[in-house]
Amino acid sequence: MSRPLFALLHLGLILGTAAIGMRLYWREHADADQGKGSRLLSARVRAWYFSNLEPFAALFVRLGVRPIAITYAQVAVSVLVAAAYAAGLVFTAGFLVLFAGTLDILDGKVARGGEGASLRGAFLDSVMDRYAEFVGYVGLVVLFASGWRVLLVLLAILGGFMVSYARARAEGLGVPCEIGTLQRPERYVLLGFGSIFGSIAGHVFGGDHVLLTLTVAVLAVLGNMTALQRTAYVSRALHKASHA
Amino acid sequence: MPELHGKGWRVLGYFIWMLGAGVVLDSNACGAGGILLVVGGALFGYGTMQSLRGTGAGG
Repeated sequence: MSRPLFALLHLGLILGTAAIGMRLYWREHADADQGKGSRLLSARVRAWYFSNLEPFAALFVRLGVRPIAITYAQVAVSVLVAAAYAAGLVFTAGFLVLFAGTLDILDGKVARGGEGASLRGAFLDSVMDRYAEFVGYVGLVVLFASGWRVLLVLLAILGGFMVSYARARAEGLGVPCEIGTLQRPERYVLLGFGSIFGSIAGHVFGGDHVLLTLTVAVLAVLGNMTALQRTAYVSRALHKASHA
Repeated sequence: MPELHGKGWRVLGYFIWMLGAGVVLDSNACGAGGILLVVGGALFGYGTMQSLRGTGAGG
């Protein structure tokens, strides 16, 4: 059933609350060190979003919640993402993508805030992140099952995995590699908001997941571009090191 | 849960509200979606009130 007015109301609410929240945060923290950012997610936006999670990180640390439990919860939410996409519940799937991304940030914060930070935890977190990302895309494969758009999803999966693999391999060779347009937080934000806004557009204008298809295409292109960016960067660094 | 005062309740309310919006937009379960919208809205309002009264932690 189409609900264009309700969908438009929520578009306004999502944009309005985010704009007000960011404005208030930046006014209070104009001089604060905002950390690193990227072209798609500026340092200021990241700092604002991270600040929203601080109460939950503090609560989980006090309750003694282990970071790995949050990582497993992230995988469970990703299974729900897949189920939602497969059932055509695109707005809910987009929301759950953002929620899974939030848990991904939260496990790191809890690990750093408590006594749960360990090499084992970091390793398990990286592996579970790959599973979580893949599981979410499985739902999109089911949603686009009988059409050419499955190819876009497969390319997006490849891009996501190659971005992570390039970094892991580079760091194994001793080259730090946190560069690139489309890192994991950017992928969560693009897919999450692409799904939410795509669902809203579907309620208002109709169409067959046009905006979601565009989002997956952008993920496929930028993901693989980032993997190639990293490959070129590490290749140059290793070449320079071997000729130094 | 003193950690959630102000901003924490607001963020939790927002998340529940968004989940309710998803239920309403994606399905015909308007009743369940409506309940989530009301609970989310109430928590968001509660957190905002705490922040405005100055009792919020970082709110």
